[in-house]
Amino acid sequence: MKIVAVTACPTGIAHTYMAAEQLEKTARAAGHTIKLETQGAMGIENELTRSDIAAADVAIFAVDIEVEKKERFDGKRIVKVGVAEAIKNPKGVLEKAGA
Amino acid sequence: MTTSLRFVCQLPTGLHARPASLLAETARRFHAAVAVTNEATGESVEGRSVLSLIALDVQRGHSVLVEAAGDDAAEFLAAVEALVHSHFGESLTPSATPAASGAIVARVPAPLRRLGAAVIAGRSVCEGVGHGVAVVVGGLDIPESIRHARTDAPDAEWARASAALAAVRDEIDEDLHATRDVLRSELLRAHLGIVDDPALHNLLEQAIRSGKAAPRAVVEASAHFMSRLGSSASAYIRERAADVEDICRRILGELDPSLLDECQITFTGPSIVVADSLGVSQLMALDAKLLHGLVLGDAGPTSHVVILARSMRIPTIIGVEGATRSIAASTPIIVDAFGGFAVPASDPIAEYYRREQAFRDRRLARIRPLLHKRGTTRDGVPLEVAANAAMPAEIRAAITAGADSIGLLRTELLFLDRAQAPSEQEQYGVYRAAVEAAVVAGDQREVIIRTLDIGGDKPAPYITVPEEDNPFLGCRGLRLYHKHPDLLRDQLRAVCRASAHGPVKVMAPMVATLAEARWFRDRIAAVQAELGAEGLDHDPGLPVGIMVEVPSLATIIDQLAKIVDFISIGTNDLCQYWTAADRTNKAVASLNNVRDPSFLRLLEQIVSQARDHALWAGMCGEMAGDPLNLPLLVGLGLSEISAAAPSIGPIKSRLAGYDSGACRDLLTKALGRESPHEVTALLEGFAATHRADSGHADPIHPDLVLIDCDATTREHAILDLVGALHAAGRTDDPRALEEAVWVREDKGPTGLGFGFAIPHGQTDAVSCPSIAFAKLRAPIEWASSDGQPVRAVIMLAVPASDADRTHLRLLAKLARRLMHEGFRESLLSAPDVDTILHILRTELELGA
Repeated sequence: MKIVAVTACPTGIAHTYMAAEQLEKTARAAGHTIKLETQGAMGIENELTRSDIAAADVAIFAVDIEVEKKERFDGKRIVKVGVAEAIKNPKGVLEKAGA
Repeated sequence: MTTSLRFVCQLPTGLHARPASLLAETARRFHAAVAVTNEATGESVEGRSVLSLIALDVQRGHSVLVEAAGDDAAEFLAAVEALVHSHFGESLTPSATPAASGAIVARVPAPLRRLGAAVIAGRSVCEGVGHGVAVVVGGLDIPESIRHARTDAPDAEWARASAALAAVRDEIDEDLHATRDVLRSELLRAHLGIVDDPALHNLLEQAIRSGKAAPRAVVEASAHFMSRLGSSASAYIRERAADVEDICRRILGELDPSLLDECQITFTGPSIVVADSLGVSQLMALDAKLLHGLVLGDAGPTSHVVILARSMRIPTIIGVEGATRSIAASTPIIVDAFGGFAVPASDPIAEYYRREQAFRDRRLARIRPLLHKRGTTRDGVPLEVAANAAMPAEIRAAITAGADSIGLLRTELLFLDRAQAPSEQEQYGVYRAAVEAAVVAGDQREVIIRTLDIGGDKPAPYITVPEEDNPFLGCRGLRLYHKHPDLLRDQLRAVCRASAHGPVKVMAPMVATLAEARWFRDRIAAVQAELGAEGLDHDPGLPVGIMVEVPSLATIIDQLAKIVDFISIGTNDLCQYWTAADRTNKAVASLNNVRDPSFLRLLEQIVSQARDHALWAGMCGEMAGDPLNLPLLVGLGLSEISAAAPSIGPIKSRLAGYDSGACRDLLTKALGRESPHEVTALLEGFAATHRADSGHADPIHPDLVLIDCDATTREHAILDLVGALHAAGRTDDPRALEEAVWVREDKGPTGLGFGFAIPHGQTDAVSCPSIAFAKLRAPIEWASSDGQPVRAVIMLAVPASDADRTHLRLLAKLARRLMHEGFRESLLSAPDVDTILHILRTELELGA
């Protein structure tokens, strides 16, 4: 399945990227396609476009803060978890998203 | 005959200690009886007593009546009139120094907060940490019997009091002769002034003649002056009250030694003195080797006891409410004068400080060789790193702090606050002391003495400056010398004579033309000829220079090179005259910025002209003291920079890591920028990529790897890694980095599972993005999300203004790599530092 995801934590130095790595690694190992946006201290990287989002089956937010430019996801099914959960149990998060 | 003079006090802080002592000093030069009345309160006092004059509490706007009776009354009043006319040598603009901040807030390190340490808060006035046994010093405990004691033989009692006064006077006098320390001499002289004060004598004599016993008279006199001075609107005067109390305590001790039982201070080992108030004389009498800290209640930041403690570098906190009640005598305590508190030294707290001290010592050991090596860039280009000083006492400290030389010895302090100019002999003593203080390990360092730099904004009473609309463009610095040839001659003679005792250079302030430079040079030649004729020793080759602080000199450096031996650029005034903007005027202050490319181009022109004509060029303005500016100064090719002593360490350690070619490139870039903000951004980028001490900024370094860390708690592991970063020169403020890490930690522990924790913090206390690594001897609980203890800790420390974002990317990469088991296992099983560095370097693609 096609997944889009956003990770973000308060300082944006480490956990944002750890969660991103876990979700990408686990999703790809399971044969999914995933495009993941990080919102960290460097700002938004690998930004999701409206067409990326439209083409996806589900959006995962692994965040401890508000997602920026949230309006892009209006109407999309969103599964929201904490950053720690995505790091500890990426598989569970993907399952929660129906993947 | 009686005459009088009435004036309205214009001084912003009233007739405080300095003007009062000028008035009293003037009164003592005449025979006339003098009475001074504050007409706002109706109170009158004797004009020779500084104490009484201060206690009159004359505020701005109060009308003052000075009455004199005697042969020379008229001459005396004329002298007073001159004082009033010169505003007692004070500036009429209120000084910008802010009042001491109100609330006392201790900055307690997070690990101590987490231990629930019972800290006793104060305000730090001399940084450092001291351990010792609390020695609680009580105040004078005056028994009721003394408070009511009477005498039947007033004559004998007055004789007894006089003898006590004389004994205290002799003791002080003896100390004064024994000390070679300039600061101690000043304090002792101030105490002599009090013990000799006529108001004190009169008050004692009156009380005794009215039938009161001598100790009672002293207690009452002390209380009288304490309450008069203590209620003053000026903090400066309130702080002088402590000196009166100190003297009265000593007089009482002479009259009845048993009264001082509570005030006795005996050390049996390393000690922390805890006192509600401590006299200068008490501090002077202590064994400095065993005195490890001071916890004071009632001492002001500019009180004499604090000034002395600072000169002795004793970790000191003040303003501690009920100090003697909250600290039990003979218990071990720690004074933390970085954070501004005292705390009982329980085992876990002592352990925290032991670990902290260990890395502070490592840092010191690391920079010490650097400090005592002459300033040089990494590629071997010398840049003398000198210190500014205003009195000989500061010179020893500056040289110890690593200054290569003294680049600016200001002489104004000698001239201000007095009724007459200092004599040649007095100046010679001070300059000679300065030269003799500038020695480290037998190595004599150069001292550049600047001749008197005062003007209409801060006149001395014996220097006549016509009223000026704009003193900064008026008669100041060298321009005053023409009117006061004797003043200049005395000073130059003193400087030349001091040059016989060590390497001295002399320079003049506020030179604007070639003719002035030549005139100054000629004056020195004349003085040297005189000294030669009188057979007085001096250095005939004394180098003569000028400050470059008037822009008119910038275009004639080639011509100046034929007249003077050196120049020193005074950036504060040069920038203010260049931009025509007063930096104390908020409306225009932003125009006055030394990083403005226009100003940098001016500096470049001056220094390159000097270089072309083999003229030695230094810099002694504030620009030189900001370590961020350093690459520009290296790029300019200055021979010397002179800054305040605390900047010397940071400047030298940065200098050792800079490449002169890179600095020249940076300067070239800066000269092409269009605003000071762009230059600041350039400088921040440069600082972030050039680590202190050595080489290009590398986020990892062998010193940042702790292969066998014995920390057993999260607190200690974080402290040890902060310590590694400090010891390696990545932060000059380890407490601030620690705090930043704990602020993050308190939002949620950074134990990320898998046996790893990544505490991190972003703060400007870090000079460049850095990664520190600790492999723990035993696993630590870190409240990790997977409940597993932590076996390895990676700390990420990043500057708040991270100009170069590639470092943030690097940290993101590290975070991602940690999600891979192979990476984690290789780090945990690495046998040595090199392997760990190798893994980090390859996995994070750091390059060699």
